[in-house]
Amino acid sequence: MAYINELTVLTFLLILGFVAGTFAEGRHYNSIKKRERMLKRIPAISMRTPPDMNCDQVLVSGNIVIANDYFKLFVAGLKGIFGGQLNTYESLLDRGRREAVLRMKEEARKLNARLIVNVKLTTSNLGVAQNKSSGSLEVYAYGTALIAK
Amino acid sequence: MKYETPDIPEGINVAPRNHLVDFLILTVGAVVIILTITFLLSLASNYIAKKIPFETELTFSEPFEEIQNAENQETNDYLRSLIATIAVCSDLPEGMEIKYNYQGMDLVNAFATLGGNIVLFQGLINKLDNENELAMIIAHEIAHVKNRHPIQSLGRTAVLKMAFSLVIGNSATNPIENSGLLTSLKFSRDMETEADNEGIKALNECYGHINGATAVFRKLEDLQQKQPITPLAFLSTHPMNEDRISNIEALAKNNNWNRKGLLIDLPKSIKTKIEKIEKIKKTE
Repeated sequence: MAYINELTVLTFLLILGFVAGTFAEGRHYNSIKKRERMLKRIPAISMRTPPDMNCDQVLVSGNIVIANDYFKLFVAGLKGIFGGQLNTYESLLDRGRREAVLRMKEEARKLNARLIVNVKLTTSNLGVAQNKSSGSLEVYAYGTALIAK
Repeated sequence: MKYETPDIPEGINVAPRNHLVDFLILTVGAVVIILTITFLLSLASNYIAKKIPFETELTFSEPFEEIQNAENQETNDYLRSLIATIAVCSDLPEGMEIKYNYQGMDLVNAFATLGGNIVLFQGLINKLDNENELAMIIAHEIAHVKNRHPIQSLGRTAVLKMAFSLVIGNSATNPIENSGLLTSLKFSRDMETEADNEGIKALNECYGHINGATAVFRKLEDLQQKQPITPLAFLSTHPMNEDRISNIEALAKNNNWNRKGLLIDLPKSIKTKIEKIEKIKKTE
């Protein structure tokens, strides 16, 4: 029964994915929430024109590549058969977007910016091979930081 | 105008949800569906496998074949002619050909596989007392080939592998694996009974009696009883029981087949010393 081995590996990966994934996600969210409070004084808004033209304008950006754990990928794979909302991807995307915005704000903070306008987010799927997604994605956030002259 | 960052509300973009519950529901659902499909497909494959022409079976089994002969030419000639004789008695359909394979291993086994290949092990030959016993085994294996059991078994294996690769996620592997001599396929109990029935009929056709037919199965059973630690390979591929032996006896009774006929001796040269399995493993 060679299948027993494969089943064992699958079960091991699922458990490992679930435990490690839950741990990593919890830790990441804690860090995100903490830094969001720290960087709250630099608002990032989507308005296209700066409210005050009398300041320097600098492009700032933040980028993150993040992967889903095996357990969530597996559940998403099953959902891919039956259909339905891919809830297991939601936290991945949420973490990605918030982390990218935070990194962009980090850059703005170093420039002593007081506001970031025209903020945009792009997402792309990474590691697409053999028509299979590896479940990792890149989120890129960019905007125009306004620095007082 | 004042700009500020509001706190990001939790639980909107990420719906609070227990993924473990999702996982359980989806997995159980998938398993039930896959099992149902597998069951239906294996029923279908049994039906379809018999319809596949034997020539087609040859086209996909031949690349994996590696016909092996004994070192002793006399043994080869004898076994080949015995198989040919029994094949004639078995009334094979046109175009079906039995291929003789010999393995010098210390394994009490014989099996039939794809492409009309029959594999005989020296270990089994050494345990036999007369030609009639050997003929019964060969007739049984030929009956497997005649009734297309190897390809049915292959179909079932392929379906199971496909179902499994659906779950595990790797691409389906070639169901005919192991290059060289094809490994033995598992046959169902019904297939074994069918092979018994046709095998003994062929034996009667060849010799005019069925003496030795039940004796050989009994003998293998007894051998197993005496040394239960090392299981006989033949019995693991051909699960034997009292039912099967009494089925053969009942068949003989109903058809009025002679159960006490002349037993033919095996040629002396055929029982040879056998290569030890350890030695073969080393050379591999």
